[in-house]
Amino acid sequence: MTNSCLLWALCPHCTKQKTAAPMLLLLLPACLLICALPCRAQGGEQKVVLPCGVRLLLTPPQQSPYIALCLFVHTSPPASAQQNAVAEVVSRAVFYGGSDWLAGYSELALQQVGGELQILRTPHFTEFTLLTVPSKLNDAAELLCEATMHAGFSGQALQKSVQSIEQYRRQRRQSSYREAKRLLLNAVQPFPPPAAAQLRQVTSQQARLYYLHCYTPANIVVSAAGSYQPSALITAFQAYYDGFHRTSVSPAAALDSEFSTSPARRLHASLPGSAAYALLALPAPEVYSPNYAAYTVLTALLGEGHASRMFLNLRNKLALGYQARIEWRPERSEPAIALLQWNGAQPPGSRMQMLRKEVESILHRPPTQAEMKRAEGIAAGNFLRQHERLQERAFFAGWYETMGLPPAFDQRFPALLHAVTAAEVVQQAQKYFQHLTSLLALPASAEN
Amino acid sequence: MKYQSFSFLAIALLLAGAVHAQQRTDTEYTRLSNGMGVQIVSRPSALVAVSIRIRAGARYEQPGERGCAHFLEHLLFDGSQGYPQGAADSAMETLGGTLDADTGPDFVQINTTVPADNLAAALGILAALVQHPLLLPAAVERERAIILDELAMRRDNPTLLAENALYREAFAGSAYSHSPGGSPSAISVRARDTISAFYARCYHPERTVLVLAGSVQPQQALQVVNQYFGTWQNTAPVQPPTVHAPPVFSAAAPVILSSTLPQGRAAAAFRGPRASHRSLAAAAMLAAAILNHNPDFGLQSIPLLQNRHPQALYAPRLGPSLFLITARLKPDDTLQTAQQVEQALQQSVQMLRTSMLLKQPLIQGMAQVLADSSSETETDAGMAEMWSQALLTGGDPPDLLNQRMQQITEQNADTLLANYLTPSRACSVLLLPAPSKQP
Repeated sequence: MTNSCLLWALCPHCTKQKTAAPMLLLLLPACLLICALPCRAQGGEQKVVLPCGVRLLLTPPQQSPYIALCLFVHTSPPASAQQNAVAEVVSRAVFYGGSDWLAGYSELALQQVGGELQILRTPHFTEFTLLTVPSKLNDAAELLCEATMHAGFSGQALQKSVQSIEQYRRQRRQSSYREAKRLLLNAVQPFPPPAAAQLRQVTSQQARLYYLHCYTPANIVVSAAGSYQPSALITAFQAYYDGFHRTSVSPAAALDSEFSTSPARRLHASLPGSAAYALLALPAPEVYSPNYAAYTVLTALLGEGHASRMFLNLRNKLALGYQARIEWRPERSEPAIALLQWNGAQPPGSRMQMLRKEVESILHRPPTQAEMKRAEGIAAGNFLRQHERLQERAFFAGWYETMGLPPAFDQRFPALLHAVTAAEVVQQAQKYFQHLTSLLALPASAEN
Repeated sequence: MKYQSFSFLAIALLLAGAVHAQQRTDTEYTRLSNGMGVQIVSRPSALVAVSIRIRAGARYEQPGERGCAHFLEHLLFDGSQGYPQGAADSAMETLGGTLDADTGPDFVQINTTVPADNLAAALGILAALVQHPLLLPAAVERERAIILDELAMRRDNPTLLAENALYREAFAGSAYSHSPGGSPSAISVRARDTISAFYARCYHPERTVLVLAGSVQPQQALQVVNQYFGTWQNTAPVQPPTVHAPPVFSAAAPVILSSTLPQGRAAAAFRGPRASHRSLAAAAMLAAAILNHNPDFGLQSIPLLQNRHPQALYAPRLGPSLFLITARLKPDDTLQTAQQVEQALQQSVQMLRTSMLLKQPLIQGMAQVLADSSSETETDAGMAEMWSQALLTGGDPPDLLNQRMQQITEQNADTLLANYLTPSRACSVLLLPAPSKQP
């Protein structure tokens, strides 16, 4: 807690003696004018709830050339392929029109604001990251508020959204690894990214209904990091969200969707380029799962760093200059991907079996103490490095809040990693490594 | 499910003024008694990054040593005193870091970033790798196979293939003509004794800088650095600096190469200033930023280059380097189209003559360079790498680069355009894509 905590007497996270509470309570009416309940969690973020219900997370300001603003809209996992398509189109269409003001404003304003706008959609949230400079903070706040409060969905806005999605996908497909990963994820996700035809079928009415249902104040978390005045940021969002009253049912935490129990499949693909890939999709827990820390150590033990089991027993033994590792992006609610890459001029032989065997080795060869210490160390180090940049700090703070994690989760997580036991790591493998879908992708030239 | 980045204008020009507000850092440079340079950059962080950079890149390979710099970089991690094969990686990862290394034309660099409490132990590991590699015969054979596989992987990168071809062309006969990774034929035959001789000649404290960036107390850190690196001695005479002549552009027509990849590249190369020519190097960075980002004067403003991901690349080196401009060639492009793309690349520098004299593109370009620099130095690893690069090339460290960028004069721009980015002094390569196959 710090002096900036205006109502620390009421704040459940503040532990300071509350002898001054009566005096502070006298200030209550003034504070309610801005109607914010700021408090500093142990991790350093200040949480402010605006009168409309939107939550602001303010990481401690620091001198920097820019500010990162991350706005999360908490959503339920899509219930159908159609809803998935609607959510996808809406996530971009919000910046392509609606009110007269927004229609003419977005692109111009974004250029003025500078930096860039990034959009991430997962089953649990849609997130917008806006990088801006301190002098454009108000413009940036207004843009985000308008997009989440007053967007409209004309046919033109939907069309532009679909075009932008298609352009983005074309760019991604130029990497053969990304394309291989996409094919694998499409096979294991309940609702893979909708095809262009599905996106084009989304109607203005569907988009508007989805928007009104999901883009509600209670579902919105805004997280900021960088060079800013907290009071100015609160005032800006307070002003631009004035009159934002929209209610809906809060998204439920989808505990059952944390890993796929679909039967394992063996997929094949042929891709451009000269590299070959063996990929395994490893079902994974969500960040709010009690298994999260142990699973993080499990993936580090198997596939993080140059002393992981996969690196030592696959890359080094096969004398590969290519990769043997695990990639896991839990913030995207994706499975972890075990990857073995090699020069596609060489035949695949039994490499897929070797990859599977190494991943499953944990089931019959429990980790040694040295392996555990290494895995916990690199996992903790990676966690700290992932929070180095302002943009990452803003993103992760917002993500933890959106996913319902307790305050100061980021401060406690390294200790949780170091407390994981070898038995817990094996339990994770027993639970999650039962149905592994694989993809063997070979260069098109080799297939021919 | 996905991240989408809208391609908007570069960071607002206001960054140029905002750059002064960057995080407070304290810097201190010391030279140890054995000649090794130590730069400490202290700032608030939970981590500390270590960057060791040694003037032991491919340019120092003598005839018969091609590939040694890269080979040796691999062998450092495959057994050193106190750390048998794999042990150094395991020890560093237990501390929370990873060991990364890279071999370039000028330097080899070894990097790690660890939680601040683990700095001393990390330096102990790094000292063993750099000062006491075992270079065991079995390790040589193990790494030989891995490097050959790595080189095969690089054949997937058309930009790298085009870049290598341009350096071969422009620096024919000098060490810069070779790819720093070495060629498969050189790696296949390189013997342990040759690699060992390269180590003895080039791994020298006087050719080395160590940079610490992040949560570090200078006095304490210096003591630890001294403990691990202060006793490093190399009795081999220090080599005089190698002098490289500027590139020579002899061929008037583009060099035409065929690729097995579905995408090809058209690439043009101009002479680029060396890092120690700081004002010119800054002007070249600015020129690259304008070409890459300015909607009116940049590469994207040329219709033929749109949707071909054109890119200007300038990385200052210790010696003369190249200013490169590349664009994609598509499977269906004819040779004539490829030649037109190449001509468009050559002509794009003409637009710089206008834009570098106008305020708006100039300020936007400066803001972009500053934003890139700011993004790089946001992590401790990036800060350490930028400092070590600057110290060994004679270029600007991050804070001075920011100042210099704002002091670029019309004269700097004129000199760059007249003596470096001149279409009459350029060479080019067409890496033709593999023809598309009908399904």
